[in-house]
Amino acid sequence: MSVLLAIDDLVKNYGGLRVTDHVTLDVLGGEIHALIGPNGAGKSTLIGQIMGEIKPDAGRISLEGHALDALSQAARVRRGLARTFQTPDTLGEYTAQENVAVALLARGAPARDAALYLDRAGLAARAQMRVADLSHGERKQLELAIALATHPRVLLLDEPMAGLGPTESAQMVEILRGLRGEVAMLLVEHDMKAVFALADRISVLVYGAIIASGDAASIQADPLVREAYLGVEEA
Amino acid sequence: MRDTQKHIRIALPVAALALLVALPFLAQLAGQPALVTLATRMMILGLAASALNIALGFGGLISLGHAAFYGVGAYAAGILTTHAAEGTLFLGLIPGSDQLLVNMAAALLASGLAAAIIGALALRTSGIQFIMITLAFAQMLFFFFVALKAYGGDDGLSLRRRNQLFGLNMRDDATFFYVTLVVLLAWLGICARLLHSRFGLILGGIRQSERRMQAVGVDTFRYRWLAFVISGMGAGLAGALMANLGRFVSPDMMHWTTSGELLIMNVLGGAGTILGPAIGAFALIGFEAVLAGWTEHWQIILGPLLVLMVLAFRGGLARIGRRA
Ligand SMILES: Nc1ncnc2c1ncn2[C@@H]1O[C@H](COP(=O)(O)OP(=O)(O)OP(=O)(O)O)[C@@H](O)[C@H]1O
Ligand SMILES: [Mg+2]
Repeated sequence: MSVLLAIDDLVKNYGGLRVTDHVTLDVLGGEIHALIGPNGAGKSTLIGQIMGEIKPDAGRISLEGHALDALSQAARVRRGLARTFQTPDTLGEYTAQENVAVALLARGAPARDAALYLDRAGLAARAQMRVADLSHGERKQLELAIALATHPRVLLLDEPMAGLGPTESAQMVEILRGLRGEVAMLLVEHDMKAVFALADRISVLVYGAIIASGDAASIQADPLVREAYLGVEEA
Repeated sequence: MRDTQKHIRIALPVAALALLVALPFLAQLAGQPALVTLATRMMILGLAASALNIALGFGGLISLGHAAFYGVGAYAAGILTTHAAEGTLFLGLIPGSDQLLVNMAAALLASGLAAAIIGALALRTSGIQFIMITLAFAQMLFFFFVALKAYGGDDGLSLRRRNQLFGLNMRDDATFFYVTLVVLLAWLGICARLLHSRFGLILGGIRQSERRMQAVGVDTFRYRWLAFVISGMGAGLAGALMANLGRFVSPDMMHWTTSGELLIMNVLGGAGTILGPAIGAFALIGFEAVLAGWTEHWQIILGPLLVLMVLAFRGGLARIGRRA
C-alpha cells in the first residue's frame, strides 16, 4: 500500500519542553495506524501540527507526496485531512444536523447530505437535537460525523473512546471498523482493547519521541514499551 | 401553548408594522407631527444597530467603532449633495448628486471601503484588543473629519435640501418617513436571508468555535472580514439617511458614544436576532425622548433603567417568551 500521510523528522518545543522529538511516522492508504503513549507524551500536539493548527519548529509533513508545510489548515482540509478533538469541540447552539451541515457547506456540498454522515456515526436518531442536549458519548460520535463530512483521505482521531462507557466504546469500535479501507486513520487512543481490536500498526510515543513501532504482538512484547507505557497501564 | 407563542411572535411584528404604517396619520390626528421625525430617527438608528448586529450578533465581533462607518456614509451623501448644489466636482473628479439612490450607493461604497480596510487590520486581533482597535480607528476618522475644513470641519455640513427620489416630495416628513421604512424593511429582509444562508450558518459556527470551523476547512478570517464589511455598509446606509433627515452631517455622528449607543441597542433588543436591534433602537430613543420631556436630568434615570431592563430581559427584548 502507498504512503498517504508522511511525517518526517518533526520537532516542536514549548520553551524548554520538547513535545515532539524528531518524530517520523507515516499512514498508509486504507490502514489504521494507532499512536499510543502516556498522558502528556505529545499526541494531541502532533495532531495539531499535522493539521496546521500548531506550527512545528522543524520537519516536514506531506500528503500523497504533496508538501503541506506552507499550507493553511483550510488548505490541508481541502487536500483530505480531518481531525476529531479529544474534548468535543462542537457548536453548542446548533443541532447535530447543523454541526455536520457546516462542514458540508464549507466544501460546497449540499447540507442535506448531513443525514448520511450522522447515520454513519450512529447518530441518525439525534439529528434534530441540539448539541447542548447530547451526552458526552454522542458528542464524540458527532465529532466523528463532522470529520467524515469533510470527506477526508486521512482521519486523525484524538482519543475517540475517551470518557465513553464500555457499550459506547464497543459501538465506536464498530463504527471505526466500518470505515476501515475507505479512509486511512491515525488513531490516538488510551483504550488498549480498542487499539488491539482496530490497529494494523501501532507506534508508541513517549516524551515526544517514537520509541517503538510495529504490529500488536511486537509492541506487546517490546521491553521498552512495557517499561515506559504498558507497565504503567498494568499497575 | 407553543402554537400561541408562535402566533404571538408573528402577530407582534405585523401589528408593529401596521402601527408604523399608520403613524404619520395618527400623529396628524393627535396633533403631534414631531412624532413622525422621531420615528424616522428611530428607524434609521434601528438600521444602524441592525447593521452592527451582523458583526456583533451574527459574527461575535464586538466593534466599538461602527459610528465611523455610520459617519462615513453620512459624509459620502452629504459631500455629494453639497457638490451637486454648488455644481462643483468632488476631488476635482467626481460630480455631485442630489439623488438619494446615487448617494445611498456612494455611502455603501465609502463605508464598505472603510470597513474593508479597518476590518483587515482589526480582525488580526480579538477580544479586548479588537474592541480597542475598532475604537481607535473610529477616533482617527472622527478627528479626520473634525480637521476637514473644506467640508465644515468641527461645525459640520448643512445641506440645503433632502435628496431626490422618483419625484417624491422628500421635503414632506411623512414621505421621508415611508422611504426610510422601505429601506429598513429591505435591510431587515437581507439580514434574515443572510442569517439562514450558507454564509450565515458558517459565520454562526465561527462565533461559537473558531477552532472547530478551521478544522473543517473554513478560512475563518475571510468570513469575519466579509461580515464586518457588510456590517459597516449597513451602518453607512443609515448614515446617508440620517444626513437627509436632519439635512446635516457632523463629526459628532462619529463620536464613540454613538458606537456605544448602537451596542446598547443591540444588547437591549437582542443581538443575534433579526428584529432585536431595531426594537432596541426604538426602546432606547423612546426612553430618551420621554425622559427628556420629564426632566433635564434624564440621563441619571436612563442609565439605571437600561441596566434593569438588560438584567430583566436576558438576551434582549426580541427574545421575550422564547426559550434560549
Ligand atoms: N500551548 C502549550 N504551551 C506549553 N506547553 C504545552 C502546550 N500544549 C501542550 N503543552 C504540553 O506539551 C505536552 C504534550 O501535550 P499533549 O496535549 O500533546 O499530550 P497528549 O499526549 O495528547 O496527552 P493526553 O494523553 O493527556 O491527551 C504536555 O506536557 C503539555 O503540558
Ligand atoms: Mg491529548
